[in-house]
Parts: sequence; structure tokens; C-alpha cells
Amino acid sequence: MEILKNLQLIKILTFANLKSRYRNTFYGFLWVLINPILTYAVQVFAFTTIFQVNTVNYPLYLLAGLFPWLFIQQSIDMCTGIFIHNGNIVKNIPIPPMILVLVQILDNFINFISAYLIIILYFSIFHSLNIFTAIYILLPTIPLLVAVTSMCLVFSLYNVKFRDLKFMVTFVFSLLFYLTPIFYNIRLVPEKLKFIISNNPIYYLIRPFQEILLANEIRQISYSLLYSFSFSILLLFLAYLSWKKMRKYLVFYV
Amino acid sequence: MSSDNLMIEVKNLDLAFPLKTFTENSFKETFISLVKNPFSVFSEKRSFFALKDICFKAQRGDRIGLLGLNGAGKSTLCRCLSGFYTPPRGEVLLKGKVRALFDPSLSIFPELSGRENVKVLAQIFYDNKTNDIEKIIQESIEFSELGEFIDVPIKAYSKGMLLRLSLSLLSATPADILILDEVFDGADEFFREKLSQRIKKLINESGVVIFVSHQGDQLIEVCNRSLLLNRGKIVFDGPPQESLRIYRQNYSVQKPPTF
Repeated sequence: MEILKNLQLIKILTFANLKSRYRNTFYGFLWVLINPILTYAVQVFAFTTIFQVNTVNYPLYLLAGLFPWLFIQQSIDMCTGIFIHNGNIVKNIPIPPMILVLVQILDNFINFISAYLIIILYFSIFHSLNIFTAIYILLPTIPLLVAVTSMCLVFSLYNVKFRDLKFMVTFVFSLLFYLTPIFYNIRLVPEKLKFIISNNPIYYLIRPFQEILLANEIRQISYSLLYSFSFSILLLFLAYLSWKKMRKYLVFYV
Repeated sequence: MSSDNLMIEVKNLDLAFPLKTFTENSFKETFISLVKNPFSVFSEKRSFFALKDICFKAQRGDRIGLLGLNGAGKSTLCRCLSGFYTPPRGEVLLKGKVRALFDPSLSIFPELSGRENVKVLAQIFYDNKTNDIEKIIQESIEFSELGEFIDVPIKAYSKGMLLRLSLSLLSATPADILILDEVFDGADEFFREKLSQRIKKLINESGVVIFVSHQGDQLIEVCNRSLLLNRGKIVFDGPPQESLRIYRQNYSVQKPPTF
């Protein structure tokens, strides 16, 4: 498909994008990592020192869900308006427009995975977390990456036709943060409402990270991975359909 | 002429912009138009035909100048040839790769230096299998005469500097099909002269050159053939002098366009 033919181009554009964000220096890279790590540190402080949440291993639990969530939210924020912002590129530079989305996501993904692994490393050195977790955790990043790419493609494509979609998406995702068990445990949700919360599709993607980091039973881990993979394949199919439908019109709307 | 030399063949090409794409761009606007007229979903979709029934052939060595008023369809035709639009009717057959420049002052990565941007653009415009891509980059940077500014982020560049950079890169080697859409406006006369020399040399080795310009003397100097476009149709195809004469005689006074 188109993507394979353009792998070299994707590589070069992603590299250039990273360079432009980090201003060519290692300190620039550190600067970008500070954001998620600080967000995490402040939330740990708020929920362990001020709120005193009654969950075992709370810092690890929060770590598991928060970083993938930040990756999802950041990517959707940055990608939904990407064709409108880069209308000039879509109309004037002969590259497949889909590449713009892929490059932005890869950039975010590299940030996410670096910050995530740094904190996991910290936990394995100072808090006796199994060091191999850093490898197992890569497994659920596959469906996460596929799902985020698909969601971003769908949103960015329809955003050219309905430009207010961006505001709706941002709003919905800011609400979804509270409806996804990230800073609270699913067990705290009242039995009657559990059904709604545990069927939140974003939770499908985040749950395997929590199961793996907290070293739950292998059965639970594989179960959550199955959900995550199925959901991402469904999203990929949706993205493919929207792409087929919208690609002809894209250049008219931007 | 043998058919081997045929580089471009355009058959009955139409291109329509759905009018909705200009007016309805959000849920809000769609909602308002639905409330105003609930049957508008079923009503006929109106379109603006930017190109209508375009037919032409171009042989190797043709240097075609496109002439026409603003909005006549010159850029749209160029974009169709470069594959930006999928036309609803008609065919565009091309032999070889198109290298097209539409907006020379465009910068993909404003934060990066001119040198880094040229490297990215070179990958887009040139086949990445060729080994001499480094040589092309080096040569273009020298040709652009930007001096030390080449290592400054291009957000600090003036329009003319951006233009020097992208035009130098684009004209570094001959192309199968080269499309230049009003790219000269904005370069100073000395650079324009230098570039003209380079492009003339290039034209002799390139397959087909399509050149859009509003400067008649430049058109006559560069092109051996000219297509005169009016409201999406080709109204004249022949020598540039003749085309320019018709253009100046008939199009000085015209009614504004309608859909």
C-alpha cells in the first residue's frame, strides 16, 4: 500500500519533525520529556499526600494508565486539525496527505515511550519492579499505536468537512479522562455503574498496561490484550473506510 | 512524430469543485442549511467547473505556456497533471515523473534551517534511489547564494529567499515533466536572470515543461507553444505570440464569472 512505498519519506519527515521540536539538542529532548513526567508527579502528590487514595501501589497504578492516556489525548489534539493547518502542504507538496498524520503520531509516540520507560526504569531500580516489565509493556503499545493512528485519521479527515469537530473531540476527551479508570481503580466504581465505565473503549486500550505493570494474573493480562487488539483492528477498519470515502475530497476542503 | 515522444495526453478532462466545500465547512453551517431547507439534502448538488473538456497532447521537447485570466483554471490544470485532484471525468496519461512547484515560498519546517529543509524537499522531489542526491543538495545550496543564511531557521527568511532556495533545488536536474506555476514573481531581477539561464539549459534536456506566467515577454522567450485558457476551457493552442495577441485583444474587458 501507499504507506510501504513511502517508508523512507516517513522516516525522513519524522526525523525532521523531531529535530525541529528538540532544536537539535539532547536538552531539547529532555525538555519535551519534562511535561508528562511533571504531570505524573503532580498527580501522584495530589492523590497520595492530599487525597490519600486507598489503592495498593498507587504511584505504579497511576503511571500505567496516565502515560498512554496522555499519548492518546496529545495525539488527537495535535492531529485532528492537521490537514487544515497544513492545507498549504496538502495542496502544494506532492506527498500523500496521510503521511502528515503518521509523522505527528510517531513523533508523539517516541516522546511517550521514552518518558514511560524512564519512569519504569526508576521503579525497577528503586522500588523492586521487575526490569522485564519494560519489555512486556511494549506488547500493548502495538494496539495502542494502531488505535490512536486510526482515531486520528478519522478525526482529521472529517475535521476538514466539519471544522468544529476539533472542539467537540477535545471536549469529549477532556470528559473521558474522568470516565476512564486512570487515577482511580475500577474497583471503586459502584457495581451498577461498572458496566458503563468498563466498556469505555479507551479503557480497552489502557487496561493491559495496568495489568502488566501491576503484575496481575496471566489470564487477566491476555484477556485485556485480546480486547485491546480487537478494538484496534475495528478502528483500523473504520479508518480505512473513512480514508476511502474522504481522500478524493480532502484537497477540495482544505 | 512517433508515439514514443508523447509525454502527456489529456482526454476530455473535467474538474468540478462541489460548491458545498466552500460554504458548508462545519456542523453549525450544515445544521443551519438543513433547518432553512430540510430538502436541501435531496436537491441537486451544485458544482463549479474549474476545468471543462480539456484535451491536449504534449510531445517530448514541448515547452507549453499557460495563459489566461485569474481563475481561468491554469493552476487547477497543473494540479490535475501533478495528481493532486482525482477528476470525475476524463483521463490524464503521463509518461515519466512530474516535478511541480506551486508555492515557492512554502516552508514545511519553519524551525529548521534552510539546509535541513532542502534535504527534506530533495527527498520529496527527487527519486531517493539516486546516489547523487547529496550532490544535488550541495549544488542547489551554492546556486541559491544564500551564504551563511543557509544555516538559519527558515522562519527568518524573506519570501524572496525562500523562493531562491526552492527554485534552486527544483531546477537542479532535468525532469520528465516540469511544472512551474507563477514561480518567478518575487525573485530579484539578477537572480531571475541567473535562474532563466539555468532553466533554459534544463529545458533542452527535460521532457516537457509547463510554464504559467503573466509576463508575456517571458512566455515568448521560454515557450514554443501556448495554451490559452478561459473559464476552464482551452480556447487557443498554438504559438505563444499568437496566443498572447488573442489574449490581449479579447480578454481586457470581460463579464465577471458565474457558476
